[in-house]
Amino acid sequence: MNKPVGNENDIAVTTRIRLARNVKGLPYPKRMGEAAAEKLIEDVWAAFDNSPLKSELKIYDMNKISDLEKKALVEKHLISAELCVSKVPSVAIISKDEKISIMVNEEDHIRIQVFEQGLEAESAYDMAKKIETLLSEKLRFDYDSEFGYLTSCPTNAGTGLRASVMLHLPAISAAHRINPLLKWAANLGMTVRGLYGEGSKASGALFQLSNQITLGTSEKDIISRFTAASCSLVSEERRICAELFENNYCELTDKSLRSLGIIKNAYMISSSEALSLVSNVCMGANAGIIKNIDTPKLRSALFSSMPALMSLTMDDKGDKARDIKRAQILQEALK
Amino acid sequence: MVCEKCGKRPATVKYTQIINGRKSSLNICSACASQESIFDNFGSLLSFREREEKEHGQCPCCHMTLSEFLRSGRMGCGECYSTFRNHADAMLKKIHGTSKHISEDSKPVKEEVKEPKSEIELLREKLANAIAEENFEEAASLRDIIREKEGK
Ligand SMILES: [Zn+2]
Ligand SMILES: [Zn+2]
Repeated sequence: MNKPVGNENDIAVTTRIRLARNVKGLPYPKRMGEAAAEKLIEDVWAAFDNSPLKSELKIYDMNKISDLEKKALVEKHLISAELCVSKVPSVAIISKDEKISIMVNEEDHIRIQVFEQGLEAESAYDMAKKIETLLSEKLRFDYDSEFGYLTSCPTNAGTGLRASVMLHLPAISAAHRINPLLKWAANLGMTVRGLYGEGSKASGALFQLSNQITLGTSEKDIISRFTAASCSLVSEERRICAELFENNYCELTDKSLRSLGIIKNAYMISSSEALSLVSNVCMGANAGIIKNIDTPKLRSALFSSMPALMSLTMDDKGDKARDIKRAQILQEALK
Repeated sequence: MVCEKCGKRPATVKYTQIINGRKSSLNICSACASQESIFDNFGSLLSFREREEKEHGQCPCCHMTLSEFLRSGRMGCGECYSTFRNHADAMLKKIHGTSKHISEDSKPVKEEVKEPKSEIELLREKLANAIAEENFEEAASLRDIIREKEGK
């Protein structure tokens, strides 16, 4: 059986930490002037001048890169769709390993994002704070002694800290236990949402857990509560997976092995089929039926073969070339 | 638009003067507006108060109005949090259950060094308060003190 190695990466896909910060005395991007927006981009970029990080970073100007490049960055969750359509000049500063992405002039002036594989909120948070410190040497962040860091939307005010993790929960989805989890999360000040589709209709069993409350708790508290909630979801997924296999051993074993067979041998796989096949295989691996496969690798192959979120809502059956390519990508991940 | 008087702060008030029958107007900031008007007479003291009230319905920095803010639920700039403080406070409480930030590990690294306010600035604040409270006797005497200090 694939024993989790500390960061629960058999179920937790990626962790993202985001810090929203704004510069004092400057209207937010929706109301700021073009010159001020450009100046801010310069200042943010200049903040890295004396840092060894700079050689790792690349700046993506939303007015210069192609729509295709933008789409690819959105698909990888490195930037938001909102950044692409910002009224003023906007950029993303992204590290080569794609673990850091700083959006400038999105909804807020600055959004520092750090990504890690698996459940790794603490180390990602530490990195985000390092970048925040670096930027604060050059920029004066807007801070109110009562409300904390001020943000365009009051839902982010206070700490401006949003932690989220993408979780693959095929057993919980198969057992139709998502709805009670939504309530449970809300009681903890967290939200769970389907990544591809909402609520119980989410396909591919991919969910995002994040903290809802950003004000009135210390940053450390947010991180530790978030981690605890993520861990409970991970162990709930394991528990239900074991329960399902106990009750329907033959059917589920057949389903997971059959899914593995399809991935291995199919010539074309559509995106929705890929989501469910990978879910079945991962469940089989979690239950110890399928051995010697690298589920995190299979999942990242799945994501790299997904069309943009927007086109997911449309029927993309027509795209044969993409389906052929997807089958190849998934097969490669199993080698 | 930048204030046509100080050239620093954004203009929020259109100040109109009629001199020798000719109307001329000036777009100025609230700080300059208070200096422009209050030294005249009680009539303009009152109009100053009206302007102040008007301004509380609009952010002096980004010009977002209270109704725009309430409609969108979004702030236009950091100053909006001060301009619409009561509304912001209520909104934060509704979202987060509190509006009191825990600064323990979430505050700027460098503490801000606030410059102490000058005597004139303090007097001006008192004057604005006196006007707001319609305490015109005090306002008039404060006005005289400020004039004297400024050597006018
Ligand atoms: Zn002025
Ligand atoms: Zn404002």
